[in-house]
Amino acid sequence: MARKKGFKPNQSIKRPFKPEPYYFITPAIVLLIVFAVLPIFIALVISFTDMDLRGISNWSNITFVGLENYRVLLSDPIFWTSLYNTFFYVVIGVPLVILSSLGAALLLSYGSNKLFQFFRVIYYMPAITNIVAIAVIWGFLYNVSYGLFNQILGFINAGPIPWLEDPTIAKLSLILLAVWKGIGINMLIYLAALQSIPKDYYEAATIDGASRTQQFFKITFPLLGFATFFITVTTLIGWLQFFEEPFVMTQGGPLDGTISIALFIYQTGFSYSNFGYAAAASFVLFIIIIIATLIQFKLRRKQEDI
Amino acid sequence: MKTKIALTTALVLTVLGGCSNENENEITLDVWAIGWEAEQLVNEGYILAFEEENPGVKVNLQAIPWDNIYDNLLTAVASGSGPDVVQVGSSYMADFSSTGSFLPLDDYVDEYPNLDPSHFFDGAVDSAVYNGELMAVPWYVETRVLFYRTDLLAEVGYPDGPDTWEELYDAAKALYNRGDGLYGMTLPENDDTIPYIFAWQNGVEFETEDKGVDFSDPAFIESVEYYTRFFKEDLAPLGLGLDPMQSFVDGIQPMFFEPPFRYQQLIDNYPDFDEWDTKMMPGKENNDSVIGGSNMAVFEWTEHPDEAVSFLSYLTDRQTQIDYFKDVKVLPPRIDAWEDPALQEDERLYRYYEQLQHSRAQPQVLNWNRINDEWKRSEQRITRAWLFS
Repeated sequence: MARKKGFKPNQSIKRPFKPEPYYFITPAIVLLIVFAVLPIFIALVISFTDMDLRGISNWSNITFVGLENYRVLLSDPIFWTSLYNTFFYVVIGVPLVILSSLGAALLLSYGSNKLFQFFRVIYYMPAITNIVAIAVIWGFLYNVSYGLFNQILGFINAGPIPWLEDPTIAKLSLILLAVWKGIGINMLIYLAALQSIPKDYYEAATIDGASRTQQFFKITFPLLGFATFFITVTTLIGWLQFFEEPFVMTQGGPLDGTISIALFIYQTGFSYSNFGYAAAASFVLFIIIIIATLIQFKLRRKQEDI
Repeated sequence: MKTKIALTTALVLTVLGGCSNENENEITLDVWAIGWEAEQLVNEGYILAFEEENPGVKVNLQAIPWDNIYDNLLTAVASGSGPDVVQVGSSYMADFSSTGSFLPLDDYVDEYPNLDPSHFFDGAVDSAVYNGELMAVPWYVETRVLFYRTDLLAEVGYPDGPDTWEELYDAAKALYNRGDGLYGMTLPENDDTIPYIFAWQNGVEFETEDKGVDFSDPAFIESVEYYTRFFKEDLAPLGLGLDPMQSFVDGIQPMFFEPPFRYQQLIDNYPDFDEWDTKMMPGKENNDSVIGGSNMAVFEWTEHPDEAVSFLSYLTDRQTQIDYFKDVKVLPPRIDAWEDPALQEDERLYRYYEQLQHSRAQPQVLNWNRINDEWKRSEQRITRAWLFS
């Protein structure tokens, strides 16, 4: 798009070297290297070892096993289950989060009186609520015998639904919970983007006789493109690392129906102290996330070229 | 001021004679203990009492939530630094003992007779010993006994509760046949301990010499069949999310195997409800139950091993154990503490004493968490076979 193309820096002009900017970014760079880049390399090294509890207390107990961890990982049925579950979460959850937060933002941008402000707070609330508190409340809601959902279903003579007891339904229940929790922040980003769209466009379109739907698809949605891109990337990464919901609600059960890759890594690493193996799994997840993000940037660029 | 403290310390040390450490400066003993029980050590004045008995020693106790203790221990072991004394849940003992981070206590037993393993229930000592070395001392214990509704069990012909596997199954079946929405008992499907309790009761020994597990025993298979039958026949409901205590009181599930905290809960929350009793686990070859609870260990890098061990000795002293039971209501692992009338007041609680003598530590096997999870997984495949059909 013009916005981006017009930005191309003129490289023929040589500027004198100024050190000041580097002073300012040094602390951030150092922190990033120490706490983000370095651990990735350490994890890579650990993933080639058999490090466990005895290895961590005494490094002489560690041996290099080469690609053994990765070989075992690829033949581990639980890892494949967690991979499948994670894609299940992503494929259903990510579009759902984007659509519902866009919907919520559109509805809330219709007005700005006290009622709308109140509902902004209501929709944002789940995003700032502690996950443990959420787990307790939703655990009650999902309870098969006493839960509110099944009570309501009981009134209309339906159910009871085993919300967290059947592997597939449990996955959907966790998605519902995560979507509810995820709407808030994305809705806020959409609201900000909506407010930055100049009102003149709509006025011009109204004069030209464009309907509401046309206005949405021709003006609003295209101009929200960058917000949508940002939300898609962050939500996708977040959902690939889906962890808190199964961790607090189901611990990966029933029958590994809700275990995600991140939870698999946590269990092998911190419950079984199998650090080498967990590092290998986390590296696989790392590569999946990189690939997914690169694909999105590629798609985005293609979109802009049109 | 400092010389004054030093002088008094030296004086008291000479008078007491028992303490071997001659440090002139005050020593701070860092202790990691777990949860609410640990906080009561401070709130009920046990730390103060210890500091008074051992002038010059200050105890800095940190109460760490149960959920975090494993990560904290891991960090301590990985970095080779941390507190002097640490509380370790009996289920982690084998893994952490294998790292060699705990100070073996055998050499201290002569000087601190409270640590002598013969004071404690055998099962409690099992988890504290690794490769023949005493790595920790039991601090408090718990085990499971059968809770049953006296009125409902009398109706099906077991006024004193079931004694054997057959009787347990028979009683559960009869209770289940009472009608719709009523069940035989509560059996937690994802339980960490009950499956191997049944295996033990059938005479299975699955710990091998090299700290591994042997599952090939036919008696083991029989115990799994027995356990899963309760789910298959719906005697213990699966996935209904019923609250075990509420449905016990309501009579929906009139039996369950529970640790001592459940006894306290029933007493506290349902003071008028008296139609229940406790009983040793129904058994087959034996009546074994699992012993859980917490041990106190000393990290091998401590700079004050004598003070640390004397703290352990204080906690396991008979009188401390009795007082701690009165204040906090956790069961003492010291056998002679059970002679105190406070522990014998209620028969239903005293049954734990009987059961503790027939209790064993969870298998002291490396990577037990992993094996146990795999075991639970396999059992879920049996109990939820309907999902595959």
